[in-house]
Amino acid sequence: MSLDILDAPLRITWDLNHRGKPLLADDQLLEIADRLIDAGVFSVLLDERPLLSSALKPLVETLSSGGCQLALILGDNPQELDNLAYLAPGQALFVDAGHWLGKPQGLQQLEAFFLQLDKAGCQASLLWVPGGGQLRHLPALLALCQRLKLPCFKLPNHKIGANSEPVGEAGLLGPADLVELKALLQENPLDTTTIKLEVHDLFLWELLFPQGGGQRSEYGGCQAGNSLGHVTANGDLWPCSSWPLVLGNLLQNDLLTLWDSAARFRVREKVSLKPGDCTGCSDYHLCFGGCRGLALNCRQDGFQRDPLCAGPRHNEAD
Amino acid sequence: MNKLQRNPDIVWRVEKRRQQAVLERMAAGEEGGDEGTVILLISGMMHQLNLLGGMIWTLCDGQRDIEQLVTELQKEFDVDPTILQADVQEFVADLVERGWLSYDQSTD
Repeated sequence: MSLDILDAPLRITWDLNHRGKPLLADDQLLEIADRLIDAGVFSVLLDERPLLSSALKPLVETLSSGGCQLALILGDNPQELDNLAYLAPGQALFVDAGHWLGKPQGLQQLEAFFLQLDKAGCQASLLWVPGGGQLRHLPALLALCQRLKLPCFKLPNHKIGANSEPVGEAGLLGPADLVELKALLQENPLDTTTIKLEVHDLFLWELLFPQGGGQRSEYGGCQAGNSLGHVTANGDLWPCSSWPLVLGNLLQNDLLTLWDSAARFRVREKVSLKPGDCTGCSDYHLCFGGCRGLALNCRQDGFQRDPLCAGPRHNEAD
Repeated sequence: MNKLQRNPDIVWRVEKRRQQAVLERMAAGEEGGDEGTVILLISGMMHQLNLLGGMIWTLCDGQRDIEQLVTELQKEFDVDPTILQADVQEFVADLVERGWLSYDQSTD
């Protein structure tokens, strides 16, 4: 894999709160938004209850008027629904299914929430980060998307660090989950042709799209520290939300400076190295080792390949 | 009139590090002119333009027609003006057809 170094990330995920609470003042959030725009970031996904931020309106205005394509993730707080009034019609929204699935009658509540959104004139998409042992919910969520004709169902990367569980393998999907999903799909094939399904992870994607296709976010290997970056609630810049490495803070430095730092180039050098346990794998050219942030920060077994990968593959043709 | 302008709905940026690397390779007589130096985001899809395409794109700010583009580019590329003119016309025609560029038909 060659080093293809961009001047700044194209896509940023940004946590506006830390465990439900803001860490920065509104003017500091706006300062960071200006720095994202100055660097030419194309799209920003606001996460961790952005609709509860007191800076919501100016933040959305600043990012949108600066040419950023903006999307927001919705949780399960009724106040978030009220604050939708601050957004322009057609604003891209994702409802995080993770907030609902753990509740009693969670799926029904989630569907009711989408209907409330529809009543409020908002068309939202679905987003879900499945954890270990949770893929059994996938058929029901896909059916919900089809029933409600949702524009998109996004299965993004697994966040770790600040807002999520402590770094470790607990909570992550693993090879056993894929075996379970494969068996489930053999019994009940899912129709993924009638919904825009965006799957970040290669291993999930190849099960859901055995014939190829679908909207895969990454084609050229891990984009941490290249086209992708993450901003935490205190303004720290990470290579990706799955890679909790502080490259610097956006209140102290502009994004272009941090993206030109030795720490950032070290990240890309790490990504460019083939994990030793991928040696001989006939599919390395497809995944390049997969999610390197999770591999480097979560694996406790000494391996360096994607935690979802069961091991090197050997095609019959090889 | 006939000034070329970019579609304002297209988000784009120049990749300065890549551009510099391509210029250095070309100055050293190496290949490298096809690497993307300008990135565009169009309807959610990422596209890249090579050095010449990126320079044309950057110059299409509503202030120049094709002749003026060629004059500007002639300062950067040591090539036959006739060939350059033909390349620019072909590239511009393609981008106009795609809706990425348009001609400002207003009179000065």
